[in-house]
Amino acid sequence: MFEVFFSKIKVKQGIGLLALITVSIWLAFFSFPSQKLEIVFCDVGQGDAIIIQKGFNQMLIDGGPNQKVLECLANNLPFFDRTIEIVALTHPQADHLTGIDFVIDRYSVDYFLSGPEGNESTGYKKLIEKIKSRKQTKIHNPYLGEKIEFAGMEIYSLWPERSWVAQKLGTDFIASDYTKEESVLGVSTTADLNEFSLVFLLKYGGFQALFTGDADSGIQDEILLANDSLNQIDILKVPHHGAKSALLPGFLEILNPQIAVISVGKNSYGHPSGELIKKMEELGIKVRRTDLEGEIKLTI
Amino acid sequence: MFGKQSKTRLPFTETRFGYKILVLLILLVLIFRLIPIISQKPAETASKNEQNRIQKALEDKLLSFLPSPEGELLAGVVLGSKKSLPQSFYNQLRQTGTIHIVVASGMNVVMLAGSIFDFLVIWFKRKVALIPLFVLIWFYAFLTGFEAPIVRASIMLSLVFLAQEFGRPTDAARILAISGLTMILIDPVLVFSLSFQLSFASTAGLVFVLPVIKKSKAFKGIFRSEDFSSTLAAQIATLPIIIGNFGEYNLASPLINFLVLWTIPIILKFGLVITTLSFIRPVGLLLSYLVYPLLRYFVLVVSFFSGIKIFQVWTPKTGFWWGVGYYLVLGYWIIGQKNRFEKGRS
Repeated sequence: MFEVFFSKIKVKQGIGLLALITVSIWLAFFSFPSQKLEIVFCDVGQGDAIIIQKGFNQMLIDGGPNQKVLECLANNLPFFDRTIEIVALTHPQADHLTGIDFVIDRYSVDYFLSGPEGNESTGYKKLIEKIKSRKQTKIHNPYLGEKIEFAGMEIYSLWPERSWVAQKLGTDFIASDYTKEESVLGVSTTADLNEFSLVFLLKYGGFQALFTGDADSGIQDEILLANDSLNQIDILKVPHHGAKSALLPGFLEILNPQIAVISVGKNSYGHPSGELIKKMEELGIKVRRTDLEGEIKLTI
Repeated sequence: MFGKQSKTRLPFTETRFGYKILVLLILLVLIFRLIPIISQKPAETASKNEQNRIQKALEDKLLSFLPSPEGELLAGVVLGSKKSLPQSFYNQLRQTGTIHIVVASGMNVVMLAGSIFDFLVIWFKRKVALIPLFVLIWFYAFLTGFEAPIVRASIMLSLVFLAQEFGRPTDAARILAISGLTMILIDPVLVFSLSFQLSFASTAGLVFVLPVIKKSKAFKGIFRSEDFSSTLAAQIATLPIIIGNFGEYNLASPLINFLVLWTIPIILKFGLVITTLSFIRPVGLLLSYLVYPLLRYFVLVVSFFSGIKIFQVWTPKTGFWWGVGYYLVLGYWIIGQKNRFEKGRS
């Protein structure tokens, strides 16, 4: 019976299949990533989505306000790499989290990093439910002082501080859970969610980049106080889409980055602030914007 | 399959077979319409939810194998799901006149049925093979959420296969009319559905316009090929619907369709195998990588041509009477051409 079946497979189809196999292999070969560190600020409109990639290892910081992040991932990851090692949600607001929902559907995620604070929106609740249902995804709340060693990079967690979070959320279980591996998601709060933003310092050789989420001037004094060794960096992801209150003068002076990237799109809030851009340019900082340039890719 | 040409007679008037089928269909429709009323259960809603759940689960599997928008393209071709299409890619498809490929096309069923039937007759006698074939065709229609084009094509194909196996003459025009009427009987609101209109008109294009194009001497070389003439026939037949709904038309659309359409049968066949085996993730992934070059090619062609604006014509969204006028002129032209060919023959 099977002989009859195989005799029906024509030579033409066999050649076609071989051709497809060959083209697939070549495409796979050409989409191999470089071994250099790549940082991609995706053009997702008014929101944040940043890919940190080295070889086949990726970390995605935020997912932007829509599914455009998928386009950015497709442009930068090999088509056959269906795993993102780390996805971090800096804080639970729609312009940072919506895209992650699409990412979780399309990619296998090893670690999901997020603060314990939650949001009452259906988008956030749906995302949390989905992440909790993914058995392969481990959830972790990063706090000040933690270090992630990842593909030859060192990623330091600079904010939030555990006791600060416990106090803000009005609970002591976060502080008492310090010794446990358990993580918490979705604790409701009336406090300003921007101030909970995860802040990461990436170190790779002599290179340093700071990813700030929406941690703006309202919380930068505390961040500086908690990280007294913070000094000059190479790249700064400007917090809160370059809002007027994005940066304290003291914060900017200490960091004194070579390049400041503003992830911003069409909006009614007046982001980015012309005053802030002028101030950074006066300090000799090169300002780059996703609304003007589209996707910004930096190779180190 | 729809090659045999109809004489210009009204449907159902020629053979007893036509009458029998029509009566049978009307009975079926009545039964289907009456059951929920008698039992007073929201049966339709429950089955719709179940079906959406299965379609969504399969779509999620396919999307997890490939990047965007290639994954969405595969899901669109196989399952007719257009909800997850990224807006930018949807616009590109619309601008290039290729949206019909992703918005559940009846062509899928036609291609699918032929290969499945060939496969089934290895194991079964021809008449017996019809049973699993029908089960598969209608299961596929279920998976695609009973999208109008798929249902129309499924009815047509079921009739064509039945007629062929029972030695009855098939008449594409009549079968098209029966399937269209049946669907409208079941759900009269379908008349206003874009996918129903597009699907019905493009099939009518294949039945009525294609033979005229094939006999015409205006096309030479590659433009005489089956692919190109079918694309052109479907485009001519759907023009007022496209312009009426989108208010734009791409003059290069027949060429773009010609460049990409050949990939669809291969993508569809791979897609069906991937969908069936999607629960074994490594197999699904491997097969997805194999079909990826074709999906990539499709996306590149569409994205390239959507960037060429000179072929894109914007028109005011035309109304109903403009469409009626167009089809009257088209009908007059087809009859005129047919008469000319017949005269030429005699």
